[in-house]
Amino acid sequence: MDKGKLKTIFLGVLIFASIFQTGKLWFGNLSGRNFFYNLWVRNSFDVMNYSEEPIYLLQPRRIVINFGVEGGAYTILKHTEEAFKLAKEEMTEILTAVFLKGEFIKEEDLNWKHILSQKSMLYQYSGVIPTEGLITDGNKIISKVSKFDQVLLVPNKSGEQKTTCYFIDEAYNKVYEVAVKQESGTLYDLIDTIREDSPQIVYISTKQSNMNQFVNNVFLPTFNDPPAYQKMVMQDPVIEKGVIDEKKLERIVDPLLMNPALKKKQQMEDGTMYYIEGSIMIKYYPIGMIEYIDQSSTGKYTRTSFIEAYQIAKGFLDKHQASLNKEDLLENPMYLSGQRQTSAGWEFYFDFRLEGIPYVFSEAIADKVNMKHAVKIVVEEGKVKLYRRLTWEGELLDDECEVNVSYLQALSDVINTLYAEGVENIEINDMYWAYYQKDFNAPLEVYWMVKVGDRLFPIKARS
Amino acid sequence: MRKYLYVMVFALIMLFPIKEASAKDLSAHSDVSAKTYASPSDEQSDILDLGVIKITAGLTKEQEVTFDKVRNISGEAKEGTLLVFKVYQDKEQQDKESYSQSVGASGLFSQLINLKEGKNYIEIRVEQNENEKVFLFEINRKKEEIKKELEEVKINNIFSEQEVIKDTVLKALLK
Repeated sequence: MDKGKLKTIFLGVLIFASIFQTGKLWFGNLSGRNFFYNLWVRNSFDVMNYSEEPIYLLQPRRIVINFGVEGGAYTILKHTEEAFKLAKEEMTEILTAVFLKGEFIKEEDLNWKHILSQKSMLYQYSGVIPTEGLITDGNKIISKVSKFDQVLLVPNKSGEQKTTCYFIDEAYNKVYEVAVKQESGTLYDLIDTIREDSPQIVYISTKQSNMNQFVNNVFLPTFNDPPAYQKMVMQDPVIEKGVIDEKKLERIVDPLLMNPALKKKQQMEDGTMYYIEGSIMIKYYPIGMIEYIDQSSTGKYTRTSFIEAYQIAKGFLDKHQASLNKEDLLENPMYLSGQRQTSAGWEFYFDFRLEGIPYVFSEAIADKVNMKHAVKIVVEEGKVKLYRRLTWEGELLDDECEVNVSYLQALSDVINTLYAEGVENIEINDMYWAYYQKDFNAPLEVYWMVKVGDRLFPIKARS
Repeated sequence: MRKYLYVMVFALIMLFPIKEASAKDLSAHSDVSAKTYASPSDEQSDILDLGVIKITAGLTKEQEVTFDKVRNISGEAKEGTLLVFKVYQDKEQQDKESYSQSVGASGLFSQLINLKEGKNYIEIRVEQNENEKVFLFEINRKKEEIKKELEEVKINNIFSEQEVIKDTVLKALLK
C-alpha cells in the first residue's frame, strides 16, 4: 500500500471522528465532553453493576441465628464477621433456587412461635420488599408471594431433605411457606458452630416470650456479663481548623461528575460551595453535607419497580463509595434503612453502622442538617436525581464503657415517661442499641432506642 | 326466540360476578378453618402461672430434660416485685450463682441462666408486699454427644417406617 492511500485512510478516520465528536457535542449529553469519557467512566461503572443478579441486591439489615432452643435463644451476626458473609452468600443461593424451582406449600397467618420452633436463620430487611422484577415475570413463586419483609430459612443437615423457606410479611401478619430441594448443610453447620462458641449476648424473641407490649417481633439482648463498647466521635474530614479543605472536598465531589476538569466552582457568603458541570450541580454545606442534583429531565414518567430503582440507587452509591474508599475518605459502612415510593419514583434512605451498631442522631441535629438519615437517594426517570449525604466519619475514642442498663430498665423508663404524659395503651414497635449523638461535637455513646409509634426514645445504656 | 336469548345472556352476566364473589368468600372461610395454630388457647398454653408471677418463656414444668446450654426465663409480675434467681447443681453447694432484679413499670422480668451438664436446680424467690414465695425447678442438661448421635439417627432413619427400632435407639441413647 502506498503512502498516499495510507494518508487518505488516516484522513478519513479523522474526518469521521470529528463528525462523530461534533455530533456528540451538539446532540449528546453535554457533560460528557471528554472524548475518552465512554472508555473509562462506563467501564468503572460496569464493575459495580449487579443487573445480572437482582437477588444478590437484597442485602439483609440483620441476620438472626435461631438456635432452636426452648424459650428461644438467638444471636445477631455482625456485618464484619465472616459468618455474616457466608450466611448472606448461602441465602442468595437458596433464594435463587427457591424462585427457580421452589414448591409453594401454603399461606398462613403469621405465628412467630410456630415458625421459630426450629433451628433456623432469619434475614430481616428494611421495609417491605416487593418481589416484582426480582425474577422474570410469570414466576410461580412470585405470583403467590407478592412482598415480604423477612425471610426465615430452616436448613437441613442432610442434602436429601428439602429446605423450608418462610417469606414473612409482618405488617400484614402473613407467612408464605415454600420448600426447595437445595443443599443447606453449610447453614446448619454454621448455626451449630456459633452455638458451640456460647456467645456472651443471647437475644430473645418478644413474640416467643409472650411480651404483649411489643407490636412486632423484636430481638432483645440479654447477658450476665455486661458487654463493653468504645465511645466514638463524629467528625467532618472536609473541615480542618474551621476552614474548608477544598482539595479533600474535591476528592469527594469529583467522582460524582462526568468530567471534573470542566466543573465550575463558586463559594457563597455562608460558606456553601457550588460545583456545576453540565446538568449536574453539587453543593457542599459546611455543616457537613453534600447534595448532588441532576437537573436534566426527559419530562416523561418512567415506571420503575422497587428492585430496578434500588439497583440504580445502590449502583450509584457503591460507585461513589468505591472511589471514596480509594481515597480513605468517608468509609463508614452503610445499610438501607428505609424506602418510599413517590408519585415520580422511589426514595431510598441509608444509615451508618459504626462498630456493627447503627448510628442515630438526635432530632436537634436532624433539624439542623434537614436530614433524618445519613444518606438520601431519589430515583426518578430511571436515574439518580438527588443524592444527599453527610460527610461525617466516626472515630473511636479511648474511653471504654459497659452496657449495664438492661432492656427491662430502659423499657420501664420509657413506660414511666409515657405514663406521665397520660398515655395508657403503650405499644412498642422496636427496640435496639445504637450509637446515639445528642448534639454536634458530643461524643457518641450506646443508647437503647425505643420506638413507640413514630416517636423514638433514646435511653442511655450506661448508668 | 330472540327475547329468550336476551334474557339468558342477561341472566348469565348477572350470575357470573355472584359466583365469583361466593367462591372468594368460601376460600377466605376455609383459610380460617384450615389454620392449625395461632388460636388464643395455643398462645397461652406455654405460660406457667405461679400466682405471684407468670413465667411466659423458658420454663414450662417443674422438671425437664434438655441439650440447651442457656435458658432465658422471662415472665410477668407486679411492679415492685423482687426476684432472686439461684442456680446450682448440688443443694449443699456453697457458691450458688445468684441474680436478682426488681420488676419495673414494664411489669416484665427476664433472666439468662447458664446450664451445666447434669442436673441444674433453679430456685426463684419472689418477694411481693412482704410475702415471700420460693419455686424450685430442675433442668437436666444432657451431653452434646448424645444430641449429635440423635441427629445422626434422625437422618439415617428419616425415611424408615420402623418406628419401633427408632424408639429403641432413642431410649438407649437417653439412658
